[in-house]
Amino acid sequence: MEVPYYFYDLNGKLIFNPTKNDKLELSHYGGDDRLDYLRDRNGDGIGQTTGYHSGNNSQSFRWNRNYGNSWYHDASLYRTAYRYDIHSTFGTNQLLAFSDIRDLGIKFQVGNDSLRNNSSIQMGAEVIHHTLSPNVVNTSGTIAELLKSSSSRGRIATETAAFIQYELQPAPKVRVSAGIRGSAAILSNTTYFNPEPRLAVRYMIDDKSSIKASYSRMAQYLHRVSSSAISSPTDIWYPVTDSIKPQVADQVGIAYQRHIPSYNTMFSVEAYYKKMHQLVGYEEGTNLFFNTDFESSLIQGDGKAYGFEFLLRKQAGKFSGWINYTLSWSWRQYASINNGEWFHARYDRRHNGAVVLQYAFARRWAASMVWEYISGARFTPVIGQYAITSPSLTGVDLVPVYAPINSVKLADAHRLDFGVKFKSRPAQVMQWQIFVGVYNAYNRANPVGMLVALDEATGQLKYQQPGLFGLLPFVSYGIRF
Amino acid sequence: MGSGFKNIPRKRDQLAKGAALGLALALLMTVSACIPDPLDVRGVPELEQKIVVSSQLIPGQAVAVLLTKSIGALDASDDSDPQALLDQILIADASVRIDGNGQSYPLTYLGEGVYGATDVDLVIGQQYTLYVNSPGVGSVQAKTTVKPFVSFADVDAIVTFSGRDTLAQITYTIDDAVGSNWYMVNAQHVKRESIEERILNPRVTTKMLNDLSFEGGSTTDDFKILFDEVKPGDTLAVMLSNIDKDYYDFMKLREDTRFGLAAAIGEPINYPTNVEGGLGFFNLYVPDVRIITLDE
Repeated sequence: MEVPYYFYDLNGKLIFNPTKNDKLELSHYGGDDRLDYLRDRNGDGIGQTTGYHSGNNSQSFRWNRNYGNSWYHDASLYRTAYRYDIHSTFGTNQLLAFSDIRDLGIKFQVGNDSLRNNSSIQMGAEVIHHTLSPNVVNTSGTIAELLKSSSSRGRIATETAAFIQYELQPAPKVRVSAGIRGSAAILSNTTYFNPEPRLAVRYMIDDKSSIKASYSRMAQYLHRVSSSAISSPTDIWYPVTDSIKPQVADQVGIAYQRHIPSYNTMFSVEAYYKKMHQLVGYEEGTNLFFNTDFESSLIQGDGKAYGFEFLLRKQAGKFSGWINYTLSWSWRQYASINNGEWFHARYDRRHNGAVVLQYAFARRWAASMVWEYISGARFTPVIGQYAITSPSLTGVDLVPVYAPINSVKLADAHRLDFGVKFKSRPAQVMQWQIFVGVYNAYNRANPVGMLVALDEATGQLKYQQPGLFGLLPFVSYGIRF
Repeated sequence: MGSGFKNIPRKRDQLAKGAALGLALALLMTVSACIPDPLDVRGVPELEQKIVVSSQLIPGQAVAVLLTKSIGALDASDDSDPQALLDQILIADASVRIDGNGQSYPLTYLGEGVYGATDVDLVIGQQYTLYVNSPGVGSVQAKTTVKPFVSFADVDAIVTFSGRDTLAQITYTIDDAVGSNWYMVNAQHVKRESIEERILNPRVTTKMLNDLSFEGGSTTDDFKILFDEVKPGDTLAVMLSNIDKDYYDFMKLREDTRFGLAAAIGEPINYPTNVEGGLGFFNLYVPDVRIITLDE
């Protein structure tokens, strides 16, 4: 089986300063991933063609203006689009299932970072217009009699929000940040409104260390719905509707931070606990993509996540970099899944960390190294099967038996990249740099998909995750003017 | 000497070809070396082996029960040898009996995992309990109620051209039996070679319907057997079964998730069963089987 795969990313940013107080930015990002394969059992070149395609792009325009006396505004207008599709052709039958989301947003914020008594204020408003086609199915050929094409395409939701945040220093060692955001989603028949308060208090233990406690509430009007069966990036975004309510989360955290000036180094550790309500999931047995009555398969439940985050950062000097590590847990609970018991979220990734180091060994030369590690996501494999007589009594049907939901962890992903950077003289008008290096230096698979393979040691079949890219040398050239 | 000078360009060519070949080989080795080995998925739990029950009521009051055991996910597929698979999973050491209507009926082992009895006095509407005890696998029991036999009021099939394919279209009428009922209509294109080749997961078209919309009346509907070209003279087997609600719910779930890509990417589900401690379904219903030869 051939697996032709490619991807590309293209991004650019133009920055223009028409006056000393105004800054305009125009940016664009676009990227595509494509995977196509032919399943040809007879080797005659005729078989089932299946493809996966995802692409996203975004454009934004931003205007920042300083008015003097530390007052400023920041206005932005942006557009984002994301789409993926799965298409399959077999014989005269064609099937296309796609999901896409397009956002058009405007945001305006004013603030002052230097009010009296070391205080600051920010306030603003935002409107986002979401247009989504969460699960559109198009069929042709005989399969169209089995699976009708979707009759409805887009769903529209408009999300608005306004916020104000005030930061003050009520005592020499205490800094408080308090704010509230009011958000709403406006549908044709329903309007959802959520107040989102937030509070953070920092206490300086001495001039090098501090502790911080925080609370925040967040509302979300687009739901990310993940499958437990497969490991491909086919999550679906689904908006609030009359029956699908917004997701609300409360989070508390406590953090300790310490600076070590003699080493230009900072260390922080933070613990957090997050409780989520009205998360969206699938009913058991839902046919994910080829389903024209999608919403009836969605259910809402609770979630919780907690963990610790560690960060050690050296910010200045010839040798710089950081080490970060997150130890976390994430759980879900739906009344109609797993007998109502808590189970691992699909993205319950226990360990997540990175080591990023850079060494400037000459004025224009630097070497860098990045090592990243993340625990595998969760999935629900078929662990068994059984045979029952077929309804026509002419044979037996094999019926799958699944493991408990999300009970199996996929393979961990980690890789090492390193490179050497050479840049132009600082005095040059047009700045450039060349970066040469190796991606995934020890050629470890970055898991994608799933296959069944023979375990030569035991003679049994086993699940394996193939990887698309191994060791990959690269050269990049960037210019700035 | 002269010949030596003459050979220099040829040697250069050979060197160039050798270098090109070496470079190509080195490139190939580098590229192939850069394809990473797949990663094993570890910690997949092992299946707890269970007794699987299938049953069939044969016209003439014979009861047949197929007993097998569950197997690993990767131990069988559509391509497996059916006989080898059956030999692997059948249960031949069980003692089996059916209790109901104040009587107890032992079932005799008939071979190939099938246990049967011809003397079971089945009364419509009565509940019967199946008891299975296998020294090798364990014990299970299951209860079901005998459903009344319902036959097609009318059934016919024709060859139809859908614009792309020549398919069989079946039209049927059901007169509803008294009370709440759940029906299963199955159709299969009968080809000797396909039956022999497709014993595992045979291609059967199934329609599920309940009588909520026609209780006590009759209903007429039609459907096609998709993805299976037919021609006049071909034979179809069409069956109507009056089944209980538990089995109806099970079959509805199966119909939504059993085919190809839908099965591979659907949300996981462990299907319901009426077998306590086991898997599968214990049913006591008699299907109405019609064999139809397709006309023009």
